[in-house]
Formats: sequence, C-alpha cells, structure tokens
Amino acid sequence: MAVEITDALIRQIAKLSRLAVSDEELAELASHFRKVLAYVAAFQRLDTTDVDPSIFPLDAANVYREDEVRPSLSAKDALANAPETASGHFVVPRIVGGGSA
Amino acid sequence: MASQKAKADPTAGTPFESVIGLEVHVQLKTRTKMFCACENRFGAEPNSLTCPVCLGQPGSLPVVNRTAIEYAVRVGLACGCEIALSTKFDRKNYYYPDLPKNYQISQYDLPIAKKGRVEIQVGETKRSVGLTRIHLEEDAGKNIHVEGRPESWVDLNRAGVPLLEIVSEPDLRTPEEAGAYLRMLRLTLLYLGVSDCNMEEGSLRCDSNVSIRPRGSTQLETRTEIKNLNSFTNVENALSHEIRRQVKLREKGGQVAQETLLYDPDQGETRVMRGKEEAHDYRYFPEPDLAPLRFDAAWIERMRASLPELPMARLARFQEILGLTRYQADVLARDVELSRFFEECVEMHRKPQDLANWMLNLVQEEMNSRGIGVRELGIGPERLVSLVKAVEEGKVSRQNARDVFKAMVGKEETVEEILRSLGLGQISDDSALRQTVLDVIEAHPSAVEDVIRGKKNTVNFLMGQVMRRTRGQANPSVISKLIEEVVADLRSS
Amino acid sequence: MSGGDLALDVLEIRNAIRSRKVRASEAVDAALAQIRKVDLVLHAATEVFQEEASARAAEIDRVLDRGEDPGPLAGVPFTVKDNICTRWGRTSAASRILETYVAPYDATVVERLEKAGAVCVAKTNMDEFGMGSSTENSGLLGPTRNPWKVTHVPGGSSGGAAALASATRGMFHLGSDTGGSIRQPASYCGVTGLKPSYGRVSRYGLLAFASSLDQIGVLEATARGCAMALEVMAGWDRRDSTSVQAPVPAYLESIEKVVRGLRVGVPREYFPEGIDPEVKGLVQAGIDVFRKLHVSVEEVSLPHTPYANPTYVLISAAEASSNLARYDGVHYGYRAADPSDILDLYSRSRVEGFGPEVKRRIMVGTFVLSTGYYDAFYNKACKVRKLIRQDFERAFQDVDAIVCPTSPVAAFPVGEKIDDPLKLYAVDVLTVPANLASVPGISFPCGLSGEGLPVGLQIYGRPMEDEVVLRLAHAFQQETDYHLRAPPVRAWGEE
Repeated sequence: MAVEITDALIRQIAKLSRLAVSDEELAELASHFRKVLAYVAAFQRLDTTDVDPSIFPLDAANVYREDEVRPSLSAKDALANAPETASGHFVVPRIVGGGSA
Repeated sequence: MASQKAKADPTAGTPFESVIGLEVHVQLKTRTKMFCACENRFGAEPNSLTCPVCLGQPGSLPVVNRTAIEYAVRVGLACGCEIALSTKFDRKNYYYPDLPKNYQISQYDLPIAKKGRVEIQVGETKRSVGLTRIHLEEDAGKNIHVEGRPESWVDLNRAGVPLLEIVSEPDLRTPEEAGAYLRMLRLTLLYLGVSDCNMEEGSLRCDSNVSIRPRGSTQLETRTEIKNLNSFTNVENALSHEIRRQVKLREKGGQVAQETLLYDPDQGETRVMRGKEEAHDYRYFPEPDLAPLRFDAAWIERMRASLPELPMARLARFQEILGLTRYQADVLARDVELSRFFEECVEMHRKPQDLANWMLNLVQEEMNSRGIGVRELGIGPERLVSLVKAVEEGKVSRQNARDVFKAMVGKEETVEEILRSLGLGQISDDSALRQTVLDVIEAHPSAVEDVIRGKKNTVNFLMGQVMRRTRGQANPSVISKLIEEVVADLRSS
Repeated sequence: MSGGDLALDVLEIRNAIRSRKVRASEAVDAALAQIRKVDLVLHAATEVFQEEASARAAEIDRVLDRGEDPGPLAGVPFTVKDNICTRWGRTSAASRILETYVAPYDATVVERLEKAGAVCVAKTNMDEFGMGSSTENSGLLGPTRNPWKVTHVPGGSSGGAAALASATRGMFHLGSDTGGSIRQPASYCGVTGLKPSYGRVSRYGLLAFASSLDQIGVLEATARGCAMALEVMAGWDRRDSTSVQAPVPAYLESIEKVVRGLRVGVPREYFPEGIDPEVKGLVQAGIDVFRKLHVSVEEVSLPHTPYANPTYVLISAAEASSNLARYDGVHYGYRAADPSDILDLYSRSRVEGFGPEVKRRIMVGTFVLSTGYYDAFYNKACKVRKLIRQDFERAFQDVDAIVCPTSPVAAFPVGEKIDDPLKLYAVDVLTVPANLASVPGISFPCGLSGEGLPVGLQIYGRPMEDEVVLRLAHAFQQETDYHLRAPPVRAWGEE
C-alpha cells in the first residue's frame, strides 16, 4: 500500500500518540516514516491470501482465574508514585467533556 | 404528569417514525474485578481496592475472571443469543485519566454473544426486540469534578470492574417501548443474579441512539446519542424530547447533526455535550496478554440447563399453573425476591391466590413504606404462613392481622406470642362474647326494635360496639350470629 | 577480600556457599566490589544495592548457620535489568519518564530468585524501554561500554547486563529479549545469553515493550550458569496468562547429556549479504565443532527470513505504542510542569519524558494500528509472522536445533549507527525470528575478530525445548574456551 507521508498525517499520529512534537521533529519523523515504509515495502508484496494472521503465540485457550478476593494495595501504596494527590485521589487538570463509556 | 404524555408516541400525527437503539452497560456482581483479584465493591475509600493490574502500573498483566465469563454467557443464553464458540479480548486505545493503561480491554469483532432478543409488552402489544451483541469489557475509574478548583480527582476503585455491554438492534419505536425493554432487560439480569442493576450506584448505565425517518422507510438516518441517563424515566423523557426536537427540525427543512447529547432532567431538555470530541480512532487490536476463549457446545448446553426460571416463564407459570390473575402475576414477577418468597409460602400452604393477595397488600405495603426488600423485613415464610393460617382459623381478624404483621417485622416472636403480647387474639368463643353482646344490647335497648325491623345500620352499630369492647378482637361473623340469637331470644321472651 | 579471589564460576560460588567454604556475605561483597571496580569505565549499573544486598547476605548466612536451607541459590548474587520491577531502588527502564518510579512489587522472577536465596546486587543499564541494539538509547545513564573495547558498544538493549557478565564473575544477570536484546549483547560482549521459549518465564513485572515477543532471560559467562538460573526462574505463573503450564526440567542435570546424535540445521538465509566475513568464518568454524561432537549438520531453509525484520519492526512498534500509552504523567512517573489542561499534561509529559527512539517507535506503532492502515500493515505483519512460524515448524521436523550467527557484525563503535535507526535495526535480523516464532535462542562466544571483538554463535530450539539449546551450548563450551577468555576491562585476575 502506497502511503503519502504528509505533515498532516504526522501531526495526526502525534496527536493520537499524545506526543507534542515540535515542527523540527515533524520533519525528522516524516523522513523516518518514509524509511520505515521503504524497509517494509517488500513484505507487503508477499502473497498472504490464504494465511491466517498469527494472533496468539501459544496453543493455550481459556486461561482463567477463580473469582476469589486477594488483598489489594493500600491506598497509600497505590498513590505512592503519583505526581499529585488530594484526599486519596489522583489529581489532574480539570477534565471537560467526554471520554469513557 | 408529563411522563404520561412523554411516553405516548411523539411521532404520532407526523410523517415520521422513530428509530431507537439502546446500549446498556451492566456491572457484573462478581466478587473480584475482571482482570485482577481486587474486591469488586461499591463505596469503599478511594483507591483502596486497587493493585498493580487495575492501576495500570508498569509490568502488570491481566488474568481473566472465570465467573465473569460464565455470567456473560448466561446473559447471552437468557436473551436467546448465539454464543461464540471462539472469542477473544481486544484493546481499545484511547487516553483518559480514569483509564490507567490508556487502553480498555474490551471485545471488538468477536463478541461473546450476538443475535438475541428481548420480549417486551407495552399495553396489550407484545414485541420481540432484537439484541445485536453482548460483550465483556473492564470498567474505568471515576473522575470527580471538584467545585471551585481547576482540577479533577480520580478514584480507580471502579477501574477493572467487569462490565457487560448489551447493544440492541434499532428496533424500538417509542420511548415507552424503550422503557419496557430496559425494564425487562433489568429484570432478566436480576433473575440471573448477575448484577444489582442499580442505576444510582452506576451498576446499570444506559446510552440511547435515536433518529427519525419517514414512516415506512427502511433506511437508517443520522442519529444522535444521548448519554448521562440515570433512570428509566429519564430515558423515556429524554427520548421523547429528542424525538420531538428532531421532528420539528425536519419539518422546518433542517437536518439532524450527528451529535452526542446530555439530558438535563430538571430542564427537561437535551444539550450538546461541551467539548465536542473528534471521532476516536480506537486502533483495536487483539489483546496479546490474554489467551483466546473457546467454548464447546456441551459446556454451553450445561450453562443453558443451569439457567434459573426467567421473568416471562415465571409470569406464565404464575397465571397458568398457580392461577394468579395477570395483575398479580405481573406485580410478583417484577420483584425477584418477592416472587421467590411467595413461592416458599405456597410450598407450605397451597393457597396461591390467597397468598398472592397477602403479598400484594400487606407485604408489599410494608416493604414500600420502609423502603426495603422482602427478605429485609425479617419475616420468614413460616411465620407469614402461620399468620395466614391464624386468620383462616379465626384466631385473629383480618384487620388486626395488619398490626400483627407490622409487629412481626424485625422480630422473632411467633404469631401466638405477638397476639398475646398485643392482646389481639380474636375471640371466637361464644360464651365469652355472648355476655359482651348482652351488655351492649342492654346499653342500647332501643336497638333491639331496629334490629327486629331489619335495620342493617343498627346491626353494624351493635357490632361496632362489641368490637370496641373487645378491642377489635371479636370474630365478626361470630358477633353477628350472636346478635341475631340474642335478639331472637329477647324477642321470644 | 578482593574480587579476584572469588573469580569463580557462578555455579562454583553456589556450591561453595552451600558447602560453607564461602560465606554468602563474602560472595555478595565480592560481587559488589567487582561492579564498583569496573563501573566507572563501563557505566553498566543504574543502581547498586550496597546496604540492602549486604544485609540480605548476612541474613542468608544466619539461616545457614542455623543449619537451615535458604534455597538452592543461597547467597548467589545477581543483577536485574532496569525494566524488571524490584521493590528495591527504582525501576525506570532507563527512561526519564520513570526516573523516580519505585515499584510496589517485585517481578515474579525476582521473587522466585530471592525465595531461592539469591541476592540482588544491582540494576543494569539498557536502551530505553528495550528499544535499541547498542544501549546508546539509555535515557538516564548514557551508553554502557564494551569491556572488550571501551570505544565500542556492548550491544543492546541488555547492554549493562552483558557488560557486567563479561567483566565480572561469580554472579548472573537478568535481561530481557524482544528482538535479540539478550543474545546480541551477549555476542558483542563474549558471554552466554539465553532467551527462553515464549511463556517459559513469567513476564509479570517486566515492563512490557512488545507483549507477544518479550521474554525475561539470563546472561552469564557460561551456559551452565544460565541453566542454573533458568531452573529457578522458569515455570507457570498464575499472574501471567501467557506463561505456559509445563514442568520445569532440571536443566543443570539435563545439559550434561551427550549431544551426539542431535541434528542441527544451518539456514542458508542466515548468512546474508553484508555479513562480516570474520563473523562468517568464526561461525562456520564453530559449526565444525559440533561436527566434531558427532552432531549431524545439514542445511535447512527458512525462506521467509528476509521478511522477519520488517515484520518485527511493525509488530513490536504496534504493541509498544499501546503498552507505552500508560506512561502519561497521571498516576506515576514524570509529569511536565504547569500543564494547562489534560491534553497538555499528556503530550508534554510524554514528549519530554521519552527519548527520540521511543517516540519514533510509538509513532510508527500508532500509525500501523490506525484505521485505514491496520490491514495493510499490522494484520499483514501478523500473517507474515505466521509464515515465519511455519518455516520453523517445517525445519524442526528435520532437525532438533538451528545454528547460525547471532549478528551479522561484531560490536561497533559508539556513535557509528545511532544516527540511522534503520542501520541499527539491521543488526537484529538474525535474532528477531526467535521472538516471532516464540522459540528459545541462545548466543555464546565462538571466537574473537581480528580487532579483538567477540563473535557469537546462536542456537534456536523447538518451543519449550530450552534444554536442547542449553545442552548444545554447554557441549560447545566443554570443547572450547572462548567463554573463559577475559576482556581487557575486568574485575578479576592480574591487572
């Protein structure tokens, strides 16, 4: 598949990746993308019509855990590495709008 | 109230029909979370039910909760779905502070169940509403907006709780049908015992998609999504409002924009969510940390065989086998525990229609006034049945039975003990009552003439007096018989 | 007691502690002293646990004094790559984004080793999040140096572990391998490095780079030392759904079995154009050693080999882009100063916290999974992966193991390849297939180049037949002494 690596595409990917890339980095990244695409071009031409993708590398299936409670971390330990906390919560700048289900 | 009008078809009299689909998220009441062994419990101290896995800490890995899988399969079977023989989890990638890994382990192209239906009844009309798919995923944590501070606070206790997402076909045509669908779905889940289905606690959440189209068309048109609906009534009202809005817009020649809306129950209107989001690119791919799931037909059949009786079947059985009226059956079936309690009573005392009346009147009244369920009343089937029998045997009057019942709540004394302590035993003993009747008649000599002349009111008056003197404990039929006899005696003398 | 006196093979140290000829504290002190001695030059350790390790060793001695058994590895020192969680010190994956992160738990392998009485003495340097083949991408310490030539790289990403395995004795070193990150540095530093079969060792506590490719493994001078560690590390873990439920053989015993009669295959595709002729020569001489040992050697073909590295590049980037999403400055790790809103918090924390190679791979990975590109890139790569796996399945019907070079080149100078990521990717072409095929792989030295740099010989085995690759490596080491050669920078022997 031929992909045109444009600044807009790189910006879009950077946004999805939550990386605030600078304009200089943008050019470098575009160049890197082109190199990677060239590197993988050959494998894209392989005929894989009747091949199932390798999804899970082991034969295992149905790996379960019994529904039994085990001790949690204390709230103190859970928050120990947090950059900012308040009243036992993680703190972030005010969120506006949607996100989770 | 407005809701009656709201439920009525808002497209009536217009050239449009509504197309409604509902997406319900249900928290499963497993003991532990979906992918880790933290306790699954509402209302704990913030971030006290977490571990490296549900905190998304570096190096942690998920492990599937077997019970969550079983619950999901049972829900699928109860809704007549095809259960996938081969399924897996996928990562849904997006960034949000209540999603510590910044991806949610969910299911994308191979949901655990699909192509089911939910039977609903609106008025006399029965309908089968299609269910597109059911899949499992993990819940996110909670973001709390703090008044007066430019911050949000995050509690991850809820992160990782097992969530079932149930998506209906866009088969619903009125807000009322939507309400009926939700109620039946909720009831089914309660019967299965897989969730508390408590919208206030967030264990059941509903988003709805709604569009309108020319009546008779089969095309699906642009729809809006309404979120933040926290009761079934709000779902119905929100849909009603939104449908009306879309109708007005189309009638004016406008076009419905694909938007996500919030419903404000106080204002009774829908609003576009602030901070309009761009379409997410979730970059779904199979979860590499989890093995696929494979079910064999024999196991699925065992699951199916172990399903409890479901609401529709119970409704039918109560009417056809136990002889209850449609109304009685409906009210009882709508409360899982009450219907079970009812049947336990029937086991001991085979008078289902009678007992049904007891449930609907006395028991439910008490439950409602206290705001608790039947089991919390602390009156087991044995004691209730002994009260019923006491009334049948004339040991206590029906009126006083109510007081006895109230006195039984939360206590352990038997019916006899309570009757004694309250002095409410019904006096049916002829000789004791006869004297009282004589006393009353002596006190009201002119009444005798009236009784002879057949004045019903006087008989009632006399009965009332006897009741007063016996503090309500006299058996009415015995009193009336005695009054007759005494009057006859006096007449002949 | 200086490091020199205890320049013993790690198994001998273990035996000496058990037989009370050496105290655990002596062994641990010697290990710590060795690391201190070489680290000014090598920059291999991100943290050294002087107090904690000494205290732990003293405890082990007390248990032994009481006549009790602290475990099969009592008092044996080991180091841990910085992307494996330890309660001691920090676990940073050599990244600024986790510079202050203290793990609230030990990785399963660390737990198991400590339960067996082993003593963690240090965390080792690496390429940030495992992304690199030279340890030049370390975001916290800068490049580790090769003890054979300090102007050269030790390989990567387990460069710190490999350098220490080469320059010290009497301990073993945990590493991780996603596309060759144990085997390639092992070959550049002249030590033995084992990547176990996928699922053989628990990944719980390993900071994930590419979930379907990562494995924790071990580096030590000898195959025997690796076998000793693997016996304790391996085995099913209920906390890792990708760990295999299979019994753990007594590797130390089974590696002593003769190799006569085993069949090895030499894949014609594993001597690519551009392979260093010295490497090729030494590897072929190494294969001759197996012939001498009455191992039958035949040519095999793994036809999809040229597609392995591109496949690896895409799959590993895709999985990494998702695995590294959690490093966002919210719940732990580096947070940018004064974020204006949540988007700013995410985007600036990550752009400031991650190094350039990590950012490149995250971007490529995000792209590969995006709508519109998923089928042509990620899904396609998964299909090619299936073809590569089938190549191995077919080959393993005819042979018990595959022998080949570890890398087309030996160690290169610091700075030579760092400006061109794709040049760096190219040194992995012979190691990535093992991760794609989920098979065990081991690298061990088979000689020195004219420049005095080690060259590695590599063996692949069938899935879960780690015992076979260890056995072959051990047999080779009984016949040769390349694994005993001492690098110029080392902590033992005469100065």
